[in-house]
Amino acid sequence: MNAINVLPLWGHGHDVYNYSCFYTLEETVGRVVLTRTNLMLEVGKVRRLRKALQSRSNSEAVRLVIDERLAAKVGLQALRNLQRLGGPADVFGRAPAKKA
Amino acid sequence: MIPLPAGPLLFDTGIYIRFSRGEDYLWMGEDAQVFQRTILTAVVAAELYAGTHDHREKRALDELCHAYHALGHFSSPTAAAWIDTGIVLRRARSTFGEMDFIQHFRDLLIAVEAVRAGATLVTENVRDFARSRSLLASARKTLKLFNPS
Repeated sequence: MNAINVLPLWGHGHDVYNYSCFYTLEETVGRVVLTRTNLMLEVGKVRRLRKALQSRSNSEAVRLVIDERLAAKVGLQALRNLQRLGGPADVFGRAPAKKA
Repeated sequence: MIPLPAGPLLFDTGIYIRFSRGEDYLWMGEDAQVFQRTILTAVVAAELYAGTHDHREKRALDELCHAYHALGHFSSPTAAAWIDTGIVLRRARSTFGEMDFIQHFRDLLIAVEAVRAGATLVTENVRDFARSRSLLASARKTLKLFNPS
């Protein structure tokens, strides 16, 4: 797999954390390997999903929903990680302490 | 959990910060359905990045932005949005006189992003954004606001 993770620069004379971000390059994301598989599905629901999402095919509709759900899972984990770490400082005064 | 408005949602920076502190809105880290209809604007993301304490927080934010990108729910102001914001602020200056332009500029950019996405802006600072709403109304744009606190 050629996923390119840009390594952080600390330890190379950089004390700050503004190293290149960890995004996977778009062309790597775009390289999707599709494999035909055999799933037990309610075909009527898949058709309805395809219509609702205005997808070109049933497969595309199912792929879209899978992608959305997995992205949400990653996002929720990222939010929980932020919370575990204490979260960013409120440098713009957006969430002042609530009065007791 | 307080019932949220239907349709797309755009959380203000304060909502993410309050969640991160563990003070409120803990459902944000659990509810996939809410996440899937949430828009993150680069303006809010930038305010969050500005407050990160270390590379771990920065990486968590990278992952959050990446997830919104993957959903197609990461938005950033277009050139037209920046210019519209300036024009509306100019109108505000002539209406309200001197004001805190730095604060209002960011508020208005966030508000413009919410309008563009057709999303409800979820914020505790409804009073501040009410001014943005009236300014946008003068440009025939409707800002939907919701205070979850």
